[in-house]
Amino acid sequence: MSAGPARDVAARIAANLATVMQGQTLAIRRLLAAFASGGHVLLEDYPGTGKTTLAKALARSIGATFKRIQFTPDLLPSDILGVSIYDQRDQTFRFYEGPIFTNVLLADEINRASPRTQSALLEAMGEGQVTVDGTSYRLHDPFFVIATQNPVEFRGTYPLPEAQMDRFALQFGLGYVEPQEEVAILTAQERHHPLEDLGPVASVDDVARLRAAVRDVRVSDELRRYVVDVVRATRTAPGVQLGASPRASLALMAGAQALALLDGQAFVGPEHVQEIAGPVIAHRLAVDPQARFAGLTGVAVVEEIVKTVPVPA
Amino acid sequence: MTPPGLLGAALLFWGWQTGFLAVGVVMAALVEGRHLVRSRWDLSRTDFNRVSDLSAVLLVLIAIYQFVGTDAARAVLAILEWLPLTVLPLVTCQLYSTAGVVDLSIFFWSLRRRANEHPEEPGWPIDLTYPYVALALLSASAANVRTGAFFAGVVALAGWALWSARPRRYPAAVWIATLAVAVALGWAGHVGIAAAQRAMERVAQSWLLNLIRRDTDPFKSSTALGEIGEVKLSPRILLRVESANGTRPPALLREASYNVYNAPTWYAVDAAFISVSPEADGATWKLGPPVPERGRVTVAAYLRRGKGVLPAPSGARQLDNLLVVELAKNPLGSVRVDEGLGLVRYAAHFGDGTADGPPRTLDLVVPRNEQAAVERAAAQLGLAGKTPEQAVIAVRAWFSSHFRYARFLGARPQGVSPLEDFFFRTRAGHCEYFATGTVLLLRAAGIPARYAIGYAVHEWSPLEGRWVVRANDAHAWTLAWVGGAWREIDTTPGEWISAERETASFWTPLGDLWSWATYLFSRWRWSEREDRLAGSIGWLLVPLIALLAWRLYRRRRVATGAARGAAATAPPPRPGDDSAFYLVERRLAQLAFPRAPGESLVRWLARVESARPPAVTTAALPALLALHYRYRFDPAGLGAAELTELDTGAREWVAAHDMGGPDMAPQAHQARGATPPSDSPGQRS
Repeated sequence: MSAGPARDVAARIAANLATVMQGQTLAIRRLLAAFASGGHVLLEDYPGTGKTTLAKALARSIGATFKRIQFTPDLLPSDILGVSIYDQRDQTFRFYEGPIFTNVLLADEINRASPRTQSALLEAMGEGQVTVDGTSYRLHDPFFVIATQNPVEFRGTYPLPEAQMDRFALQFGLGYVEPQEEVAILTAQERHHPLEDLGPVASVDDVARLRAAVRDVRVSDELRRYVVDVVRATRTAPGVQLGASPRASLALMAGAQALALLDGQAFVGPEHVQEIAGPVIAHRLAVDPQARFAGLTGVAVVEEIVKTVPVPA
Repeated sequence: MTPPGLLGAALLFWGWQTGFLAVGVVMAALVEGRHLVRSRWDLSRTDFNRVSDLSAVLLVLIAIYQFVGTDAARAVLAILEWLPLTVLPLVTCQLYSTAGVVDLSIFFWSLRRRANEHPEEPGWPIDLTYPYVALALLSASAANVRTGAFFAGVVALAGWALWSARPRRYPAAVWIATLAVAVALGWAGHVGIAAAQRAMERVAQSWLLNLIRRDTDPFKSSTALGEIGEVKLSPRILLRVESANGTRPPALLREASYNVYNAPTWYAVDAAFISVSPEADGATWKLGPPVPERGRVTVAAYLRRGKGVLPAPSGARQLDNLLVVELAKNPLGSVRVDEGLGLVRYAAHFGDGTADGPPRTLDLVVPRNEQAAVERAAAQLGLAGKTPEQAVIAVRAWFSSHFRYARFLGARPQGVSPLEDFFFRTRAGHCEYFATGTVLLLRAAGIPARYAIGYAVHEWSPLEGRWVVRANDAHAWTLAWVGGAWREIDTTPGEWISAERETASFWTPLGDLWSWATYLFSRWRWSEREDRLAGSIGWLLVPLIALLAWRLYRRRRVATGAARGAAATAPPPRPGDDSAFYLVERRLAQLAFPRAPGESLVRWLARVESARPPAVTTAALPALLALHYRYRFDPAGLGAAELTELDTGAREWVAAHDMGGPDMAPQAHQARGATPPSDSPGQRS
């Protein structure tokens, strides 16, 4: 698929999502950027802002399977991956697939599960396959994880360590919508949820072609260098304990390519890098405890870097 | 990293407090120059290790220099004072390096080895600037000027450092108030501690006052008379004596003389010191009325803490080349330096007789408890009725024919004074016995006499080519008033010298060699005034600094900018660098829309459009920018027609905005002139 039809696919999905997610154009754009570039998304926002709806709507839009796992402290890795059970009739072990065998997976409140369970999911995200009892099983394609975290509640949670945060291509929040849009949401859901009306606008094959088209978006050497400069700058930024990894550079470039495709552009512009830099990099930074206490956040660090690193023009 | 200026200010403060202001100014200029010099050195870990070693060598050199020249307590303080200079190479390298930090491993061999074995492990990067400020303050405190200025300076510098790191959550007023409370507590605390220390010192002083005695005391000389066992003295070289044109120097150099004996101690009574004023050159000191000069001898002696009694021939009337600040003499012929350097080297001019005060009744007193023994001996010698000259000869003959020199003395019978035992039973003793005995016998014969101590000069050192005097050459003898002048009478048998020689150990030559080296170094060290010392240390550093500079110069220097980390390697090629759109950008920058370094062209243009400048039409710009972006960032590039479109479009726009006013026209020309590639837009690299 060339850039034109691929862009149409993305536009159709975006329009479809917009019917159920009023006033969330930016979040939809970011979600699609991650989806099209093959990365996973961590949503960090308050309860009731539409995280689940967004994930469900995406799954419906592409006619893909959708599963949701509510993470709890007693959740076990086998609850996610699946389990082998001895079949007395066949006298063999039979593998029962867990909820991870799906196209779109919503990992709700991922920080409530124990680190062991978290890492089971995150490894699957990184490898695209799971191994149970020595046998590897490929996950479905496309496989897209939307994990959510509640930023206010910390009691009984296991915050994701930096290494695991690194596995998410993007992290962003949805935020509260404008009052008139919230009224529109009320109106739309008066009789039934608009999600129920949502039909597929693209096929799973379309998604595969969309992803291939993203990889075809051209990037100049100069902008590749700019991507690296921005990511490298996080490693020496004041108040940052641990800067972003080369994986962040990869995610930043792929995200910028996806944004360029969404904009109908065959090549990446510097704005695309700047636009996606915050969601791609900020969550990977370990901010110095003292600096964090003084009010410094990863987002502020990235914003400052984007402002100071000379952008190609 | 410290805020700009703090490091320099701390060094200036250090220079001011320690009195090395010139050095401090140079050091401050060096560390603050980093804000002016844009280039940085790309230093490896090995380079930092070398610089660290250099600092260590510097520290060792300064330590040797100080310990050889002065006593330990002063040396430690001086080393502390000089510490900022020692660490300066390291700090400078940190400031001028691309890394901007140093690794902890440069200070420890173990960490260096570990870093060599596991180069992939991250190090322990540390910033030396804050510790360096603290070090400068600590070193400034070693100068111990004891004025309020030090406290004020420390508070100001510490406040400066803390201000830049203050928590922003609190208002500045709260922070200032907290600091003020801390300062007040600090002031009250240190004043209180000082008061407590003074009180404790007063108490301790009264206990310790009588316990410690050292050096030659011009008022009192405790002898070893009556002590049992061997008298031992070290063979350490104390004095170096040179006589004019190779003549033999006087055999005795006197340090002090005493007039009252109260066994076993000699006292100088009624012998207050009066200070001597130097001649116009500040180095010549007259000790008495001039007499015909009989000779001149040059003596080099160490002073402890710049104080001490100077040995000189008894007849010395004038001391030359003596670089001291305060000199005093007493009527018994002692010359005391109250303030001077660690080593003095002076020429003593001497004539006949001495400059000592004339005899008094004290010089004839024989103490009551020795009276019986002395009178018995005097009677035995038949001193009564002899002339002073005859009496001296008789005493000298008696001692030389009936007595022998001995350093080892056994126990004596109960109720017998040491002197009586010496006179009649043992007839053996060391110089103190002979000198004391002679004084008292002569007094009994009605001749005024005094007890003198000092050194005997008898050893020629072939190694050094001069006369040397060791600690075991310390000697005691007698001064007798004969023929209207004080004469030196030494009744100790001459064999004492060879007896002392026998005590020389196998290692003495080695010790002499070391002593000579120390002396040469001390001479160099003390040859000039204290204020020139900074200069001589500086000369010591020149080769080291030159070596460092040479090594650094050979390093590749790299440019720095806003993104120093990004500039570590060559910049990537910039295709489309000749785009005519830059003319538009320059023109708009002149119209008060400069683009920030982190602002992309699209955002910048959006800002320009949202401002709706009256004299600017932006309608054509988005299309031009789209072409420019393709030209710059699309690896596929632009076709020839599109390139022409971009070029003409941009030039037309610039031309259209060239008529903004008479003051803008030249700027526009300037802008065009500043874009050399714009004349040939079709050529792409």
